[in-house]
Amino acid sequence: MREDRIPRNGAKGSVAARGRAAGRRDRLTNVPCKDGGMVVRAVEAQRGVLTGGVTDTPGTWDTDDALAAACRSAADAQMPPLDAAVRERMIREAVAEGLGQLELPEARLREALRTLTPVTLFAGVGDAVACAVAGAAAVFACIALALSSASTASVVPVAAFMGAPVLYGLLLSLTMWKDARGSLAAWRRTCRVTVYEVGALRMLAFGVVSLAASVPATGALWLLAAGAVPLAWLFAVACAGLCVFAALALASLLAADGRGSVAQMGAYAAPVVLWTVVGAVLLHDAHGAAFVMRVPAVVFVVIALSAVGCYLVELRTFVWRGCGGTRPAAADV
Amino acid sequence: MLELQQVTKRFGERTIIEGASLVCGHGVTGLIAPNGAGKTTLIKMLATLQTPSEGRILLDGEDIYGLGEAYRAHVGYLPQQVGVYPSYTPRRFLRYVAALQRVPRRVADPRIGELLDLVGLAEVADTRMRTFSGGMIQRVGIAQALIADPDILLFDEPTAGLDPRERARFRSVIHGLAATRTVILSTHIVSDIETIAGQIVLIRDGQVKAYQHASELTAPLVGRILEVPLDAPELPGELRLGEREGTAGPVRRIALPQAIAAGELPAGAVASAPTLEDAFLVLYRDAHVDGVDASGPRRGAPWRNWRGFR
Repeated sequence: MREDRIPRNGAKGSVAARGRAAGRRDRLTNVPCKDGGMVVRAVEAQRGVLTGGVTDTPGTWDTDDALAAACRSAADAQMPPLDAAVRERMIREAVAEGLGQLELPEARLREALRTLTPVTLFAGVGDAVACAVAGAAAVFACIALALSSASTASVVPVAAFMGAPVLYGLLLSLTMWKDARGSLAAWRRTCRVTVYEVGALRMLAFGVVSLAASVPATGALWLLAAGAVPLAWLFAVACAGLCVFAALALASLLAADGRGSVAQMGAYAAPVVLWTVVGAVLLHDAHGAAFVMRVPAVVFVVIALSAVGCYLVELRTFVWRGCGGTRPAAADV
Repeated sequence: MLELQQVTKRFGERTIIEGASLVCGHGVTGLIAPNGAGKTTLIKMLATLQTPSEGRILLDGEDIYGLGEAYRAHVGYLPQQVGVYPSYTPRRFLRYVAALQRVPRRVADPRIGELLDLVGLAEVADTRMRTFSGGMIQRVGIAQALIADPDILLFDEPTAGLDPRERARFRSVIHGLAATRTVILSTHIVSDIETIAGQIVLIRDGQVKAYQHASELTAPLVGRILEVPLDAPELPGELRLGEREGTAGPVRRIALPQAIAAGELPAGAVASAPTLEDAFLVLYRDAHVDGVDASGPRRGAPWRNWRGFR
């Protein structure tokens, strides 16, 4: 089977099926045509749509446009008439596959989600998860005890905002700590499913679980406040706290990624320390607590949604770090 | 084909590997050096766990750090310290590894059975690994490196903890796999690679040098390896390679600076064919090798220009 050479950005490269598309071996094949040319097919397995282009007689293409033109002419000659938009999409995808573009983080996460069962996703950190849940329950119990004997009207919203991320923070920090100390930490970096993808899926799972857990927790705080504040408002406050902390924690992780162990420990600690300091200030400052009480629910909803947007962008960057060649100078293991 | 182009690795002020250029095709490449010489560093760079300070590592002309998953899809890596989850059984652990390597379940399950049989763990496939010995854990590690049927196998001291029978079995397995794969095996146990390595790579003082056959290392020692009675007088320039119990009493194995003719052997001395271990001990004579101080009584001109390292 002859191997065509198709430049990438002016440089020479190959489109052998064994090459950079190895991660998508089931979706890219080079097969010879009857006339001695090559068919490059990018198969979208999920949608069951056969896409791609057909090259003309063997040759080389100096630019992407020349390749695309060759695909178009061959497609016109050999394939049934297609809608123009569909044909252009097929050609773009065939060229992209041939040039070996990296898969988008979203696609990688979807594929990882299909590959990994919940047991596989949380392999080795079951005890850390259990400790986190127990720890969060203990913290909540302490908060509830403290609130039950205090003047709660102004304190409950602050407690909701600061306490909502406790479960998420414990889950994230304990599982990452356990992974880093484990004997498989280095070896896992050689796997096809990257530690970044596993980490991202875990973070999403932790976020969903924390959000779900915040519902009964917020309800309990509302009862402790004897209904002094609206439940929906209190829930908006809790969501905002959870989402802001999650975005902050992930930003901290991204900043420390690829650096030494001290920097990474600092990354784990920084959001917690910051959160504790802010919470302490709000709790001790009557003006601060009163200010929180005056903020309408819609503001907290906007804060939460903005934080979720930041979080998703950060998550995308986090997953992208594990893709080929885009990681920063990672700390050697 | 894996290729290193002028690869250098430094940790701070210390240079571990300097200007290494190496080509590894199908077959076994044995990477041999004393502890601390840089074998693991080199293996880790090939596994993309460490990045070179200078130079490039290429797979079929493509930089492995640019390939990302496309490179990792071809690699099976056995680290020096094999990690497992003690509460897992070998079968469950290999299923976990298969998932991380994107091996479909329908492919993974029969392959796991074959691999466990290959490494001699079929009978304990469903026993929790917390009860396993070090050698059994090592065999699980060998199986996990093979789970995705990789083209490139990187083994970092794979026979540590294995008994002689298991090591012999491992050598046979690797020799069979290497016919269609690139196997790079790092060890400080010469016998691990003596019979299976096509290419032998030595690391000394950061310099990496490849030999295409063991005979390139042993040929210069022909006529220079003797076994003399332990209490015999020391010969001029002799380098002690070790001691053993001979048929007529304890003997010491030595290497001489010059070849000696059969008729000129000292009394009681017997000429011996040089082995790869002899060559290793001579090359690393200034290093503490496997508990044996291989430094000779005199370090000087007769040895300085010995073939391989200048």
